[in-house]
Amino acid sequence: MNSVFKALSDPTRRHILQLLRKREMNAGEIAEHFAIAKPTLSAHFAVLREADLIGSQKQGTTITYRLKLSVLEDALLAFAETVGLGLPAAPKLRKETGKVR
Amino acid sequence: MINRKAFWIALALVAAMLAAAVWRISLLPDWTHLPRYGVNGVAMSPVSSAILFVAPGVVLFFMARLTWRARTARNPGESLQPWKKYGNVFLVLISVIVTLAQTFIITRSLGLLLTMNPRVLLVIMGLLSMAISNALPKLPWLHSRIAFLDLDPDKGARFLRYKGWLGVFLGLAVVLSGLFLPFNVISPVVLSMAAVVVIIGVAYRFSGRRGQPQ
Repeated sequence: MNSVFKALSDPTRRHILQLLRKREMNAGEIAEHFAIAKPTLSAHFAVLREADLIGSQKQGTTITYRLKLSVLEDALLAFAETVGLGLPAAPKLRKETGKVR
Repeated sequence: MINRKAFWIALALVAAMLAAAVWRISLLPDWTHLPRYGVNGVAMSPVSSAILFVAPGVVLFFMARLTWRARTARNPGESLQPWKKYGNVFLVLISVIVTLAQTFIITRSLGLLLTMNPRVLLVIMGLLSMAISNALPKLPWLHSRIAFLDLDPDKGARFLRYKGWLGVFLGLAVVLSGLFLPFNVISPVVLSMAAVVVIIGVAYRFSGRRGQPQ
């Protein structure tokens, strides 16, 4: 349970979970929503996977992530979002033509 | 979707429940009705003896349901593994809890355990429903070979999430009903809630198919 709290305490990881709530996404699609380095994002994925909040499937060179939240974890996520646990969320920036705006 | 161990445990419990039901019925002066006692052993109107076959029927239904789901899975691959794990735990838990319920009904009909509050059983069943439904959204959507029953992975995942929430709310409602409602209204209320949940679940399931390209 500690790993779940740790995973949900970070706004970026919560944002990733919110994105996956809509549909399964690959790492590249998720990365488009953040202005952070890919290794950092991979570290977030690792924390979420360790907490068993996301599942991944490798197809060729692409890794597709899907949400794996139990009802309780879903409720905890909603609670964490409501009270705004952790640091402010990473700005929602889009990378375009290799330049972060 | 269920392994041999879970299958035999469930089947043994079904056999035990059926044997106990037949044995209890053979002791009844009127085999069609079973004596019933409420809280603190207050005698209530007798109930149909058919109630003794509900518990084994529930286990057999879920065994058939899980087997059918695995047989109709399309290209399950790795998706089947978590379902197998879930199916085994689910079947054993359901079998144990309904066996407990059956034991409770039979012992009380014999005039034993009358001081034990029957509400305890409802609370346990509600908690079980919550625990089982809580884990449901963690499972991947299992594609069906029957096109009519299939959904795309995103809609399937949403459906499992929705089903999980419904199950948890139903379990919570059963726990609260067991704790706070008058004893004689618990059964109709719980059964109505379960029926509503099933109807909502089915409606959501098939509304999820709308606009689906496949």
